[in-house]
Amino acid sequence: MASVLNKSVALWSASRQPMIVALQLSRGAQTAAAAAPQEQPRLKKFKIYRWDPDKMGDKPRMQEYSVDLNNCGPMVLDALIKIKNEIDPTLTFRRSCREGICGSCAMNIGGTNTLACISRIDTKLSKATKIYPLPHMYVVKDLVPDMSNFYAQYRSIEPYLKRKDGIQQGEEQLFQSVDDRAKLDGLYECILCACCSTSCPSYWWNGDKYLGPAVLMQAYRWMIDSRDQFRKERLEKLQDPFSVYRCHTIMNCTKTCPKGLNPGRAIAEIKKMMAGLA
Amino acid sequence: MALSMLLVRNSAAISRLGMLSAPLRSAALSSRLAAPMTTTAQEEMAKFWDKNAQKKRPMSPHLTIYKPQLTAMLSITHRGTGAAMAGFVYAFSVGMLVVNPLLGWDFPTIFNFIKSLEIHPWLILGGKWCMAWPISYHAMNGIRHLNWDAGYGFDMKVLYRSGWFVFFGSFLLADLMLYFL
Repeated sequence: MASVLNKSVALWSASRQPMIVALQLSRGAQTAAAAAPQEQPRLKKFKIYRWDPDKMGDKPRMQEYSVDLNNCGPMVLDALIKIKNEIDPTLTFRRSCREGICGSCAMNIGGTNTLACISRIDTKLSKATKIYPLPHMYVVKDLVPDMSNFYAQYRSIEPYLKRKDGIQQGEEQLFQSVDDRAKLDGLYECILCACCSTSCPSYWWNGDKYLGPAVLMQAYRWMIDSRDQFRKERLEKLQDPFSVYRCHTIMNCTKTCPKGLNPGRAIAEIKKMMAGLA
Repeated sequence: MALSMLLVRNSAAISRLGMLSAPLRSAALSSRLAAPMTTTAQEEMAKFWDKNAQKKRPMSPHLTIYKPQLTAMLSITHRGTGAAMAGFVYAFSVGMLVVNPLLGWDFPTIFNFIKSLEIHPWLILGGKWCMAWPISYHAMNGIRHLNWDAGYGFDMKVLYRSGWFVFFGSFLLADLMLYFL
């Protein structure tokens, strides 16, 4: 009796508020599929690199997942999170800000390195989107690479202000002209996601000795800071056949940078300074 | 406070620490905190390779999965043409150094020998083209490289325009070389 009553109430409220019901149907298309003007599910395939360190002798493989794009956010990270939540909780990847400012979700999507959170899902359903970890990196698990070498290289260029006049931090304000400040634009925005470095064939083959585009751009950023007094020493430190000169201006770095920066140009400027041309 | 005292009494390990004199304890603590700062970036890097080798982590795929793009394709072609031409010049000149004193062959001998084979003119033309195109491509892309070395042409739009220009231009230049030379 109660259930009949409930049903009739539900029907009554539905007839009174058709707009709201329609809205709910389109939002939760799958649960309300029966009554709605039905949407075709738009199943998109994702082929994702998997490797599990805890399985003895596990070999890397590609695993395929299907996601209905009608129930998924527009970005690749949305799809990954949906897969992890609803299909396979063992899928492992890094993510944090979901708005392209933390650099955690850097990975190889559809053949190029980018951030999953600001990369739109290719809505062509006939084609599977392939997702790999950043190229030529040791894999910790699935899409998570070991970034320690990259970070150590960043540390090696001493990415902070260095002074010779012994001014203590916080003692005095170091002024900078508007022009000098403008020189840092296009450099300081780097989020160190390593998309560029891991797109660089030179970095693939010489990642132990070549610093790679991301780190070199930050080296350049401190060299040209008008407040820094160690340009000469910073340049001398890189003066060897590998640190800078493994860059052959392939330019995969600038092509792939998800922040639209130009590490290739920064390296060229370092080379010019080293040659005494700038 | 009372809780921490209880913990200290209950855990053998912690109680042993608790028996140390206060200054000694703080020294141990500070040296442990300072430890990471004494490793250099170079030591960190060295550790990285050893650790990953020992853990037998796989290397993520690279060359085989990265999208072939104009940037990398033109670059590898530049290297390929350069290596091929250098190899050809070395092989030919060293070969001549050997063959000339041994057999008395000089350049006209070889030239006439090839002529005497009566190879089909289209094949000859094709062979010439295969020698002309690497030169034209390497020279044109070389100018692109000189511009980069001077600090110009790094804007992605310009870079792609110059890239396609060099790509198609190299074929045209190779044809012109065949026609006029």
